[in-house]
Amino acid sequence: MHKLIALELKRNRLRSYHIAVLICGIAMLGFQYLMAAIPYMDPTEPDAELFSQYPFLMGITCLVCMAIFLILSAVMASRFVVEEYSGKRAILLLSYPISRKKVLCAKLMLVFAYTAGGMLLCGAVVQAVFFLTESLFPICSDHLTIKVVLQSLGFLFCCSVLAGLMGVIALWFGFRKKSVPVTIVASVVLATIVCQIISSALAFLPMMGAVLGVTGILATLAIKNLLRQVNNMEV
Amino acid sequence: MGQIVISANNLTKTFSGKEVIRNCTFSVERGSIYGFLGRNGAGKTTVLKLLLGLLKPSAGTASVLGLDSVRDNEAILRRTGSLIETPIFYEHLSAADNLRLHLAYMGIEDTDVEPTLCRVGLPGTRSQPVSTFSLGMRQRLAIARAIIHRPEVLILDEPVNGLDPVGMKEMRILFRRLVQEEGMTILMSSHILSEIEQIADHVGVIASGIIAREAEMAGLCKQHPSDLEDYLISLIQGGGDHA
Repeated sequence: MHKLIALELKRNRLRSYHIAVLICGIAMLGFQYLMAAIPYMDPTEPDAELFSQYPFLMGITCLVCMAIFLILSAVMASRFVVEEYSGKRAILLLSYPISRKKVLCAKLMLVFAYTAGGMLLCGAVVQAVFFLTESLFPICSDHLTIKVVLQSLGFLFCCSVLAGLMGVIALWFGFRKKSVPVTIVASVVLATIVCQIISSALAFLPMMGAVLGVTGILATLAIKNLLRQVNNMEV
Repeated sequence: MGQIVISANNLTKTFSGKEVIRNCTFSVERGSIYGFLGRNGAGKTTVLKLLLGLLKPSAGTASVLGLDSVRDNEAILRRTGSLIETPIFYEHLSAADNLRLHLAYMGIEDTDVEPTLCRVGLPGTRSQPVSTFSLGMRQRLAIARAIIHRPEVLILDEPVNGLDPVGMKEMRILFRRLVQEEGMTILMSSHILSEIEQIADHVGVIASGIIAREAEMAGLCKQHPSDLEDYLISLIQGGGDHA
């Protein structure tokens, strides 16, 4: 499997994705400071108090980040999977004497790991920068404690895994039609639904657990179905 | 009669209820070149895909090197070199990287790609990106990819497409050498009569998904010394067996 992932990396350029992750990180950082500055920009805003609380701020930023990385995951899955199994390119891929299931698993693992890992790394750097500046020149009136930092990291981890899992589900929709636009539209719809659900109960841990559980089950079913489709594929 | 390495037995393939290949039966002996002749859309590529396991037969069986094309698909692909339809490459990679990648998927490492590139008439192109290759160069590179892992069987779909007359002759010589010096067996499809006439030991003519005629090329040349082309054309057009 390791060798197959290495071969995937060899034949697909990741440079554009690295740049996208970097831009996401910068945008996230800007978004984080913008949200934190809302109570100063518009003190009459009824929800201004919320934006001066770290758990809310980090939660909102993580959700926005999750939506962005989910779309990035869909773009990557489209390039690595949908395009590779469409048209004449599929003949080349299916002509290798390697288990079709293993090849697809390598692709899925790579997309999942890049999405979840990229978001985790990006989010951790953004949080580190934000908390560092907060400890020196605080913008928020909330108290910065270790518990707040750990909670934020935990939430970030959950959102990163969610982004990766939802990327697989979006791919399932796109793969059925062998369509890149369907994959990307599915990721946007999924991001909208899941962000709505989580944002309605940001600090409620069981909600996050339930969303993770349901998404995990759906992603597993999607992977099983994708493997079956590829195994029975005729080109 | 030599050892049979490729065989199709009552092979049938149906797409959306339409029979594209019907009871196709033929065999290819080890160390020979079998020319598969037919018009565009006659079903040549479909038969080749069925042999490689890229398509599953609706009825009948296909085997390569004694292995079932559906059940033992991976083993067949390991021991076979193929070129099906328009060759596809990783455009941003060089010719050498494309070949190395293919070798890695074949489980072969540390093979120098330069001799194979020279063999197909692409010396000095190893570091050139495939995106800069002409149609003829891409076809040559596709042939290089099919032979670089030294397969026992070559299944080639229109291998001389896009080649100029010099290239076509060079590939003919290469295919002959592969058979004579390395004992390969070649099954190649074409709609170019002269190409098949010049290279094939055996010929199979397919028309509307049915094998219209299978014969030794030398025998056909004897039977039709002056009108072989007309005879083959009549078969390709579905005229049946006039021999």
